[in-house]
Amino acid sequence: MSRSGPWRVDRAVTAGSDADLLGRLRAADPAAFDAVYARYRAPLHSFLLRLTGRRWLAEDLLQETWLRFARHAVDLPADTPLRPWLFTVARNAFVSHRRWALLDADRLREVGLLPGRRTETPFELAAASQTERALEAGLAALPVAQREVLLLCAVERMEPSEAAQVLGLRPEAVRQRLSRARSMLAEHLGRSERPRP
Amino acid sequence: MKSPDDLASQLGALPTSDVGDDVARRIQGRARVVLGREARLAKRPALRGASRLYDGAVEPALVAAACFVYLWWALDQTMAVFR
Repeated sequence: MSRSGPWRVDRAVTAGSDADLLGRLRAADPAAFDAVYARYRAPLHSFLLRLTGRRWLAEDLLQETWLRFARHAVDLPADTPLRPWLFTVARNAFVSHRRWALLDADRLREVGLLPGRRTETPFELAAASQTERALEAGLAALPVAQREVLLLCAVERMEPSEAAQVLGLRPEAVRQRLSRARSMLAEHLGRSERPRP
Repeated sequence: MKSPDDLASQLGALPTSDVGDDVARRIQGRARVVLGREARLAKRPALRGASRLYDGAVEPALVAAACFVYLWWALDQTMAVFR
């Protein structure tokens, strides 16, 4: 886990804006691919790991995302916003996995075939402080619709218009969902902070 | 209860998680192979169209058909045991 957020560091040290890199990628420049990969690998992995809660699955979906990117890179329109595009592909890979995973643990829990107690996510296990652990646990306990909007807008700091592209919603709907997600998370944190009788 | 601003700043400060070096290299290597293939195909649009058609439709249809035939045969054999 990295505290500084690797993509923020990489953005500074890797030459070229997303638009420049995309222009070079359209000419199939492997160095441009490597730069995009270095810039967005960790944020995409974190996003997928917080969505799935399982490291192996996040890695599978991450690979799927980058293979799809490599397949389409030369065809992408020059004005494609790279970050929302990549997160859209990652999210679609996750949604598609959920659709086909008939024995998904979340679903079994929803229909009562698994006990309600969930296991800790890799982020919770590696949390540096009690607050961080509580936040990770709160995020993991949210329904997927609320979790993904928080991950995009609050953790990745996307604008609602960018998050709207990723989620296939209108920006207004994203704001509403974000507000609801924040309340649910705050409520969860309030419950976990309260001393148990 | 935390304020929305507190919550937003705490969420924004959560750490990122990267994959291990081996996994990162493996994914990058596979993706670069795909990128190289797409770059070669981009110069030959007809071949690219045929490749897309094969990957997207012909191959999945062949796999589905093979599964169906095998299932049909397996059911037939199973029923033959009880006949």
